[in-house]
Parts: sequence; structure tokens; C-alpha cells
Amino acid sequence: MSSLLTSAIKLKLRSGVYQIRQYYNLGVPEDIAKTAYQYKPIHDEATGLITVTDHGVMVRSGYNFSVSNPGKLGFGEYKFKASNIDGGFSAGSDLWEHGTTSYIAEPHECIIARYAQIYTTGWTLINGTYYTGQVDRVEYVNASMLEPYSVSFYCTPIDMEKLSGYTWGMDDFDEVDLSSIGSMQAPLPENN
Amino acid sequence: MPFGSGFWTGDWVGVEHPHSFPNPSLTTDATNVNWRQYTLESYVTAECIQGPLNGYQGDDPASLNVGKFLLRRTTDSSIEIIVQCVEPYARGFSADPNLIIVDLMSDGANDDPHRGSYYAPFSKISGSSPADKFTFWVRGSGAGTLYDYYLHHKQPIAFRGVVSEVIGAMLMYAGYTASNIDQASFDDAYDAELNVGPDNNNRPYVWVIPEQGETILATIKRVMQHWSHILTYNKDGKFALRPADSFAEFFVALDNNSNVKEIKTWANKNIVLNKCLAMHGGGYMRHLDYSLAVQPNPRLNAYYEPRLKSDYTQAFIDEYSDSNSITKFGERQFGNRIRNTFNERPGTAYGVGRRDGGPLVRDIPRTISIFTEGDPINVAHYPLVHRSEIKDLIMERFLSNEAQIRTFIEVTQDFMGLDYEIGSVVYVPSELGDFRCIKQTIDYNSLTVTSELIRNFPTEYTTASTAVWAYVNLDDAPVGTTVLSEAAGTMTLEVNLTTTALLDWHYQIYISKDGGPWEEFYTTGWEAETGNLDIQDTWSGDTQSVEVIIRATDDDGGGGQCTPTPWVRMPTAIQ
Repeated sequence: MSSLLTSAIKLKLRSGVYQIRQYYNLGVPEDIAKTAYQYKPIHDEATGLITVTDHGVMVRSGYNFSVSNPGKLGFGEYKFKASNIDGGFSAGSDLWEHGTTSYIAEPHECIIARYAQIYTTGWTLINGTYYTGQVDRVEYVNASMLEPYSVSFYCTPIDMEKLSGYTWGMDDFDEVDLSSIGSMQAPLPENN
Repeated sequence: MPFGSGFWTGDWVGVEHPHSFPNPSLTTDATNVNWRQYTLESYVTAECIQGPLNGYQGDDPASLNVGKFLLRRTTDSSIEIIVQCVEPYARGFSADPNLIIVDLMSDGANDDPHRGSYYAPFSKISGSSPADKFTFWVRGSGAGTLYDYYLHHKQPIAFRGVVSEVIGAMLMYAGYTASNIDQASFDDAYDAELNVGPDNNNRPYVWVIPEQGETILATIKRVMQHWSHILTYNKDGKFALRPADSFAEFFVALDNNSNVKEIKTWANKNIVLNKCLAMHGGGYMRHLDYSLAVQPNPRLNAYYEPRLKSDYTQAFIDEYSDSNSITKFGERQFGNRIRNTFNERPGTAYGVGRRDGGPLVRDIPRTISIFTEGDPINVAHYPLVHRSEIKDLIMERFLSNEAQIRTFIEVTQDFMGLDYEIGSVVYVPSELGDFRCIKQTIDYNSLTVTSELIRNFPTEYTTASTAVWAYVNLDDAPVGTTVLSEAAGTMTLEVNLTTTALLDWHYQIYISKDGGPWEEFYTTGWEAETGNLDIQDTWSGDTQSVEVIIRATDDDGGGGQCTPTPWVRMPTAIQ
């Protein structure tokens, strides 16, 4: 892991003149089991599909950099905000319906995939910007009670609950049925 | 070097499962007709880990949360007789060391099935004599009643290995696969741990027993304290373990080509720690009144408090401090927190304690703990156990970084900041040293990356073993000149080392052409160089610039060994 960016990307960045394209997909599950997702672009700066108004910041941090202050393991929780003037993100809109199937998902069943690209000889993914996150919740900010105009997505990396939510229990302890001792006739009580 | 064969494919090395047991058989009991003695038919080798390990909880097995041998009377499924005893008596203290007692009677006399137990963190039974067999005794009420008995072995899952192996195994246990684990980073961490010492005695080798109710992440964090890897969830959505001293983590980031927009530097003395008490030794012992000659009914009548107070004035505790740091910052001790416990144990030793509560003997599980002086209460409660030999290394590493003031740098770049990430070692020329990236904030609005870096001091190891650990500081040495020239489409790079301390050391030289990936340019042999070294290589092409870095190391073990020095960039002239 000596260098994460390609030479071409670094040369482009060093030139100081470059184009960045940000792209967002919403993954809508096809069923309650979430066996497959239908991905729907919700923001793509290369095609003029502009909905995201605040791309937000993503913070990651490492654990164990110091004994006295080991720090916090930051997984990259992520929040961004999109315009909802046209109601496209509102509950009941087609966005939350899978499409191929008629399954209508709750927002927290969906995932967000986003990335940034830089234009070199073509659009090239910038390593480190690809992110897939589970939508924890969406939050609508209302201009009035009847017409929401923006929506915030709160996402966490997929599968984090495996680690942060898993607690060791007795099921984690191996139990081995060694063998049957066999039938035994109880001996006489000790005092007899 | 990757982990052991099969590690990532499910054949874990990190989990200790119970070994297979042979069938037990009824052994004639000539001493007492009320008891039946059973002995496992053949000799076994069993490694068992018993609980509780978080301190004395009384002798009621219901309070135990890990580690049980179960003897279940299945004709009455509502009753489960549990004997949490596996640990035989310490060898040499009993003629019948491998004894388990189960008393199913309720006659008011000896109806104490939960007693007669003995537990310890580790036990091992092996050998070829009858005394090396597991033996247990059973008696029941209701003369003539037929019972079916089953012997179950229940043992806590345990992980052992060097830190990287254990954490990798726990992540896989949690269900993560290659799609969520940066296996290459774990392999790098593994390599770094193997570089620490010649064998597991000198490596951060851990044996960890998760505690019921503890999250896997919390267990992983406990293991992390054994070494200086940084655990991170990287940009690819994978867990990564970044070692501090590894070329694979090296990256020269901050120079005129790094697109730095803003940089802030500060020093924080609040994290300085310069004194600690480290402990090895200890164990978990129970004191039994055991008189097999009378009847096989040992009773627990005392226990040896494993908090080591009795050992407090003995040689189990060593003080580690940095006098210069104390003079400069005052005495700054460890606080009394769980975090501050280091425990080390060998992979091959087994717990043997003296049941009279005297000093421990033989190769006991050794515990290294750091705690606040005068308050050893918390020291022996954490089920990470390891070997004492590594204690010095851990403490030296601790002091080499923690006792010094560590400069922080916050640097804001454009997306060039994505060329490294958390855990990367970043060379900062203005500070003449290595830093580690500990935090990154990607702002997708301003398209900037702000990284927080902390000074990383190289670790200098000394040990009482035969290996001579040394350290060469290239910062203090004239490292020569480097010239890049071009003629007729052929690039020539000449590196001339003028340091006079080449003998016995490897020098690694890496180059980066036009900001490209690092590639090895040359690695010297340790035996050949006695003075100046002139290295030259050519390639075809049109290279505009080249960066050259060098460090001292020694990979072959001949003469001496050292952990790699920080990389030093060599100024390169272009002709």
C-alpha cells in the first residue's frame, strides 16, 4: 500500500486543472430478503442529473495510535443532502419501488453507492472514493407540512453490525458431545 | 509472507478447539462402593481453558460464564449436573491428578455436586501413564435406578497466535470474508510481528478468551493493545491492520508535488506517558482439601486470590520509566483503566499453580499488566495471557513513543490526499521524520482531504537474548548523493552512499519515477560493504523526475538485526 492513486491521476491532480464527477446510486431491494438490488442513479454530474446539494464529509479514523489515547475506530458514517423539490425522494414515489418487482422498500432497506471520478483520457475512478453504505434513515426537511423540499440520507458501511453489534454468547463456546458413558445403575447410597 | 496456509480460507489457526476424546469406561472402584469411577479409555491430550477469568466469583458453577465440563443426567432432563472441573491438580501434587467428582446424591452429607471442582486458565493432560488419564467419579441416589449419563465437554472459544492472526480469526468468526478484510494488510502486519523476535517468545503472541457479553469489537480492541498496529476500516470498505514498521506502509506524501493547501502542526503533551509498572506472573489457583485416601470428595475450602497482592513486593513487577521524559514533563503514569493492561503468554506453556498459594512454579501463564501503582486490583482479571519475555519489548515500544511528545500534523490537500490513508506511514521532510495517518476527513463539497498525522518513532529493541538488536540512525549520517541523467533515451540513476557504517547492515533503496509506485532499486548485502557504495542502474524511457529513499535494515540475521530505520529521502540532482 505504498501509493493508492495511479500515476495518471496524480499527474492530473498536480496539473491543477481537472474535472471531478460525483455519482450516486440508490440500491432498492427486490424483496424483503434483499437478495438483489435495483440500482437507480440519483445524482450524476456528467449527465446533468443533479439532486445532491450537500455532498457532506466522510470521516474515518484508526484505532490504537497511542496507548494513552487509542482513539476511535471510525467506520465512515456518511450523510448527504439532496433536493426534494420535485418530490422524487418522498415516500410513495417510484424511487423506492424496485421496478422489476413491485416491492416497495423502506428507506433503511436501501443502500447508497457513490464514487468520484476524474477526467484523464476518460472518466477514471478515484481510488478511495467508492463507498457503499446502508441507509440508516432519511430525514425530510419540510418547507411546509405538505411539501418536503430536501432530504438527508444517513448511511453507515454495510455489514457493520456484524462487528459492532455482535456479542459473545454461550453459543460461541464449542460444546462437544464427547460420548455416551452408557447406562449405569446407581450404586447404593453411601450410608447403606 | 502471508498467514499460515489455509488461514484465509477457513482452516483457521487462531481458534483452539477441544481435542477429541476417547470413550470413557467404567473402572472398578475397589475403595468405595458408593462411587463409580470412570476413566477415559486411552490417553488424551487436551487443552482446556477454564473460567471465570475475571476474578473470583465464588464456587458456584452457576456463576461461571465460560468453560465447563458437563455431566448430564438425561433421564431427568430438567436436572443438569454441571462440573466445571477440568483442570487436574498440578502435577506432582496429587497421585490422581485428573479427577472429576460428581455427586448426584441429596442426602445432606455430601450432596455438594458443585464442589469438588478446580479450575485454572489452562490445563493440559498428556502422557502415557495411567495417571495421565482423565478420571471422574459419579454416584447417584436411588439404588438400582438406571441412569444414562453423557459427558460433554464445553469450552470457551479461544484464539491464539500473534496479534494479526487473532484479529483476523475473530473477524472471520464474525462473518467477514475477503470482501471486508484487507488480507494483504494483515499479511504485512504478520510480517512485522515476525520481525520482532526470533520466536513466539519475543513476538506479540496472545491467547485471548472472549468474555460472554463482550462485543467482538471490544475483544479485538483488547487484543490490539498488544502491539502498535492501527486498526482501520479503509476506503475500500475493508478492515485493515496497518503495522508501524513496514515498508509496505511507507509513503512519501508531503512535498511540493503533494498539493498541500494548508498544514497545521501542534504538539500535545497530554498523551505523554512516561512511567508504568509492568507485571508478569500470576495465575489462578484454588486451594483444595483433597483426601482421596478417605473418599473421593475433595472440597474447595480456600482459594488463592489471583490479584497478586501477595506478589506485589516480589519480582513479578518491574517499573519502566523514561527519566528524560519525567524531567521534562513530570511523572505521568498510566491511569487505572482496562486499556492499560498488557498480558502475554507463550503458546506452549500451561498453567500450573501451587495449591498452597505459594509462589508459582514451572512455566505458569504469565501476565503482563500495567496499572496504577498501589492499585493492582484490576491487573489479573483480563484473559489475555502471554509470555514474560516479550514484556521488555512491549515496554520499550511503549516508552519509545508514549514518553515523548508527539507532534501532530493536520494537512489539507486536494484528492492527492487519497494517495495514502489511515495507518500509512508518511514521511514529512519538514519534520525529518515518519508520521502515521490516524484520521482522514474527505470533504466532497470542497473536494479536499484533511489528514491527521501523529509522529511515529522507530522502535529500538534490546533483549537479553543472544540476538543483538541494534539501530542505525540514518538521519545522523551523510547518505551521499544521487544523480539522475539522460543520454540517448537511456536514463541513468547513480546512488553514491558515503556513509561509513555500511558493514553488517542491509540498505534498501527504493525509487519512484515521475510520482509512480515505489520500486526496489537496490538492496545491499550485509557482508560486503565496508565503506562507500556506488550503485548505478539504467532504464530506457523519458523519466522527468525520480525520488530516492533509503533505509537501513538487516533481513538475514547475520551479525546483527535491526528493525528498519525510517526512510530517508536522498536529494536527487538531475543532469
